[in-house]
Amino acid sequence: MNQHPTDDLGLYALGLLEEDERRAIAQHLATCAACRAELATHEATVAALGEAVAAPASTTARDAIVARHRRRWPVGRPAFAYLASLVLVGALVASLAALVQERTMRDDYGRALAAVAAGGRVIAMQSETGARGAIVVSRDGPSYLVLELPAPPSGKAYEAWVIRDGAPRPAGMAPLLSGVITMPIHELLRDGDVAAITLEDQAGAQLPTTNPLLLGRV
Amino acid sequence: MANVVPGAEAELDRALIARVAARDADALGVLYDRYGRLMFGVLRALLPSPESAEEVIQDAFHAAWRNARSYDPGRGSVRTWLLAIARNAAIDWRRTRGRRAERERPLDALTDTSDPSADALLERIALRGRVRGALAALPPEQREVVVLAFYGGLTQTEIASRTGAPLGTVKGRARLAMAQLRRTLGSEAP
Repeated sequence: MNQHPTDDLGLYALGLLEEDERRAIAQHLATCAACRAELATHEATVAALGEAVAAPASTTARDAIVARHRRRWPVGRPAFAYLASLVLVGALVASLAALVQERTMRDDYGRALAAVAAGGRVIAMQSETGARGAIVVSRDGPSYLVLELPAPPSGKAYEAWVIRDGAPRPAGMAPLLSGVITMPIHELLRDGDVAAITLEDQAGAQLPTTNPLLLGRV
Repeated sequence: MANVVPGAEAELDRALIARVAARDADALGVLYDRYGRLMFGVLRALLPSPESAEEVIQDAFHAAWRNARSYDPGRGSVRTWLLAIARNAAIDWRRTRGRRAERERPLDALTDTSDPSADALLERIALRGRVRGALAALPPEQREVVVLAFYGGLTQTEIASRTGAPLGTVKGRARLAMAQLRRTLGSEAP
């Protein structure tokens, strides 16, 4: 294609073209930065059309998708640490859009993300229940727990703990929200510290009374 | 909202696709976290039931897994790529399993939902926010083309035969509509 297909880029983004036209434009795009930039503006339009109908996708389908491919293509062990951190950073970014409801939490989340961007460490928390969590350890300053937990039973709430030298200390109650939540940990975490989440009475406890749902060692 | 730098998002998406191409199922899961809502929503519009959308979103991610190596950032964003995959998976479903489901449905359950007009589609999908206003502001014949294409999954030829307009007219309307929607929707991040 010698001429720029400017007029058809909107149709390309909309998915309206027949296969041969689509292929010709795709080939042109591969070599033309100007048309790629133009296409990006139409992609934003189409993204808006999609976002207007976006609806929660089931976690069952997610689990099925991941399990299907994990079973057939086990990931080698040496790559695991790197992958875990990449995937968690991805999950952190991914969840940003889901956090529009609570302004303070959005700020915490933004700060956790900034800490990752500034070279903070992301540590996966272990769970036996399907809950997910990560510790974001800033280089200096507060650390954060980014957690994905089921809604707590009525009257109960999740409590965070920092366990140092075997002694658990309360590190705050998680807000009563479902989905992805972010909690700042104001204590400076040191190597060897363990962060844990337990289910407690809503008023909070001074010592954990149940087994941890999530555990991670710094 | 202080959004993540768009460049960083694009970089993350490319890194995820590279991981998927290297057979990392968790990276596929993160793509699901990032785009599952969008894809599921569009599939809900394109398909007759939540169950079929649930089935097809799995087909779509399976196709993404198989084709991750052929993703080329020069040809569009990961979001667009995944949307196209979801759309193709939905169209495949309608041609095969959808037809079968249709045949197996008792006669009295048959309605015209399998072949809805643009207005009926719009009513069913319950658009949110400014997109609803932006579409309402389009001339009806332009709105019809965009709605049948994006939310109905019809090709330009199918739209032409559905609306009785020549192919060139369908394309012309779509170009005008996309130019107008870009002015009203495209400037802001979704």
